[in-house]
Amino acid sequence: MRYSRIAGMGAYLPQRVVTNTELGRSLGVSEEWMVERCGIRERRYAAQGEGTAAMAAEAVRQAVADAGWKLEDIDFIIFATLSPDHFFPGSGVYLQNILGLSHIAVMDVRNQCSGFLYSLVVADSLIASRRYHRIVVIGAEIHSHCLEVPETNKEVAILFGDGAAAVALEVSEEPLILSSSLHVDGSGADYLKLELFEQKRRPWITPEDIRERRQIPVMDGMRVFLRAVTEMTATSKSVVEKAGKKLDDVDLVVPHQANLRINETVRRRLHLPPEKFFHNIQTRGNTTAASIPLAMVEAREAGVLKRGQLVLLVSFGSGFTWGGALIRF
Amino acid sequence: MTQPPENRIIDLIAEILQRDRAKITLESRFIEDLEANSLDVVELACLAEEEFGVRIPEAQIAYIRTVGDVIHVISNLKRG
Repeated sequence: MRYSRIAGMGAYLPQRVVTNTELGRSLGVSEEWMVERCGIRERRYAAQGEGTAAMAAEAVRQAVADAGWKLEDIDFIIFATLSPDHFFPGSGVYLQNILGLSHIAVMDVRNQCSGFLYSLVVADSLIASRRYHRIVVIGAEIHSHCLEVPETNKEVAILFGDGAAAVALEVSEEPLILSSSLHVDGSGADYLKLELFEQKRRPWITPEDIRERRQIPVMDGMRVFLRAVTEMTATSKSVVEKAGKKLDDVDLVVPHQANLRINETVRRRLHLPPEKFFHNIQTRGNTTAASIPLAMVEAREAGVLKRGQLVLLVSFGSGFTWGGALIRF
Repeated sequence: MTQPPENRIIDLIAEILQRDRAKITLESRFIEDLEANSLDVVELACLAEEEFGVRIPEAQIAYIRTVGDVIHVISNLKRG
């Protein structure tokens, strides 16, 4: 059998730090209200002119250097984002052009907060199938363009941050993914979505849409919270069981960073101690597809993610999409 | 698990909301009396599900107003 391993990881964060003090002034809400709802204290916002693909390119460069590769060694890229530079083409082609890798293929993935996990499972399978040998999986997002206005949806605006992170996968004799499980329940699609553009309508975009701020995501926070806790808890248990392990065997859980309260509730339902759950949402916000690899990079920097550990990755997000993977890091 | 639902649910509420347990009664209203928000109630429901091994339907969570409502929902689900 042929498997993959994570040879390197990298991340890129825009320079601008937006604290709750600053965002609270723009939105007209208190810092206390923001922390109570999601545990986030600050997040990063991309600069004017900074695009999703450009941020992704920086993260790819970091991951490739960390793996000891050259950029030319990459033979496939999978790019997960819900905030592409343009509606079409996908950001993958821009990323390929920025990196100057005209010889390789890039695939775009649209699975929101679960985009990284879906991409990781696909990349692992492509390496196992012997079709590709060195794949970079990237998650990158820019949410901030529509959040920093008083008219925005405050519950949504406080959650999101910008960022990019990538993992470089290469051939291995030992498995990276011991078990995985990916899910969708499309009946939840309307509970967290960006309404524009509405392709079935003519005209598909109007001045009224902009006046009514339909370019800002809408969310039913209660439903998302409830379902996220339910599915992340169940998926964590099932993925660990599928690998023939117990939850106690897991060295570290790196969950999607959507809301500190969701992750803490999942942790408690799994009866795991706080030190087994890694969180960086307090300073990064929810970076959707970038959040798990970004948390992995920062967990390694913090010394809590180490080689050889049994690590549970678990996500839930818009769609609804969710999933889990138990990996040997 | 061996405790009656009342005691354990009030423990959970005191912990989640960081309120004095002695001041929480079955009649306490989450929003008006305990200054909770909708996410607090959802978090409570999620933890109570695990604690008591039940699945609380979303529609029932939406109708929870008081501490007594939570206990009523859990007790009914446990009776089954």
